Amino acid sequence: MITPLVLIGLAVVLVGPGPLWVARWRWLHQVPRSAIALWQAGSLAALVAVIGAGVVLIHRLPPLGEAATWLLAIVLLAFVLHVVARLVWFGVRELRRSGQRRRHHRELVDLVARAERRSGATHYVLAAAEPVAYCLPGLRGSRVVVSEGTLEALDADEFAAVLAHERGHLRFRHDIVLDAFGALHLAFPVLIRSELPLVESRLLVEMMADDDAVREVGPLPLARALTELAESKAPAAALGAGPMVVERINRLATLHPHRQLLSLFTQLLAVALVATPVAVLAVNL
Amino acid sequence: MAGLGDLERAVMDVLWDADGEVSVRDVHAALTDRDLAYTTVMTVLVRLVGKGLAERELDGRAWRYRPARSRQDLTADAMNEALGTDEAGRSAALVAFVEKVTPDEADLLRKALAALEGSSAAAPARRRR
Repeated sequence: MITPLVLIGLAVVLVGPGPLWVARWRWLHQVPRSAIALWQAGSLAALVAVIGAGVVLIHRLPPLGEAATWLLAIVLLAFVLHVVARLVWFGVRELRRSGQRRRHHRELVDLVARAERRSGATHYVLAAAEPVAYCLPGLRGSRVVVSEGTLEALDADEFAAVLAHERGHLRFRHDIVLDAFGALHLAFPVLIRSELPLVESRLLVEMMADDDAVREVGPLPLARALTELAESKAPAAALGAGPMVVERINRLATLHPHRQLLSLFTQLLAVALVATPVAVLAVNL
Repeated sequence: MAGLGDLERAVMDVLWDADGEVSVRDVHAALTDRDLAYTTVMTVLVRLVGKGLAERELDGRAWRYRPARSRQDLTADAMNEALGTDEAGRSAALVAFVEKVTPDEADLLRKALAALEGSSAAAPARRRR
């Protein structure tokens, strides 16, 4: 009965207080790709711990007559089944919902937007004055969409930065990363889970795409484009999201030249996280 | 290769650019360069009505078609979805380049940008317009 308790305790720490701690590590923003891997490892480790606890419980049911132990086993097992059922349910639902939303939106864009080719790739322009830029991911027919307002607000370098950023999202399927975090977030009961993995993964995915833009046009055009578009309008539509942009631009000013070591360290940490519940399981099965 | 969506768009463009209601024959005539069968045009129009994108009315023995909503209206729809701040919009469905900020946050942004430009905040950032 100790092993399942340890595993579930580990899972609770991984989805609750763990993220609070890790979210304070500002240096993770230097290496967004590895940082995403670390957050994913944390979620995966929690999941392995929960499912592992279930497997151990079913394999080693307590002897009949030990009422208290049985009660504990049933409570733990109920928790395990709850999390797994929610994960499957919300996983399917999230993927289907964002798929439907994108399909519907893509039809709309294809109907009204003007396709424009630039340096071998196509983007779509909506005839609207308010600047906007985003991407529509999809297995086939992914699109980068901007508005006339964006074209007007940005110079060539800045616009190239926007395109490189959005193409980065599409190429590395950041939508799947976010959908997965969304489903995992919903899988754990409200009481113990933290918003942080979801919030941080959104920010880190933006930073990854920023890195793609920096590689293509350098940090300045990107920072200018970010400022220009973020300021462009509608404070009401902004709530709570602003600090993300500030953080992204501050980061561009402080990008460390030797990030490989940091990246490697973060990846090792990610491996260690997943290895922990696996090791507990291996010793006890 | 003309996909279905491409064809629907071409037909909608004819409806939008037309002065008033048009018949299948009119649409077919407007799209001669695409070398489409008359029945294909008819099928697309019926489907557009089914999707709520077009409306039709019987005029004598022929249906006459018009767009259900203007191009500007649909563009506004697309913009609203793209700028959407509801929980669904915050999902991965549409990933915006950058979120809009409040005036206070805009100040922080300007400072951050100025730091990056390697100049003091007093130095005017390059502006257009």
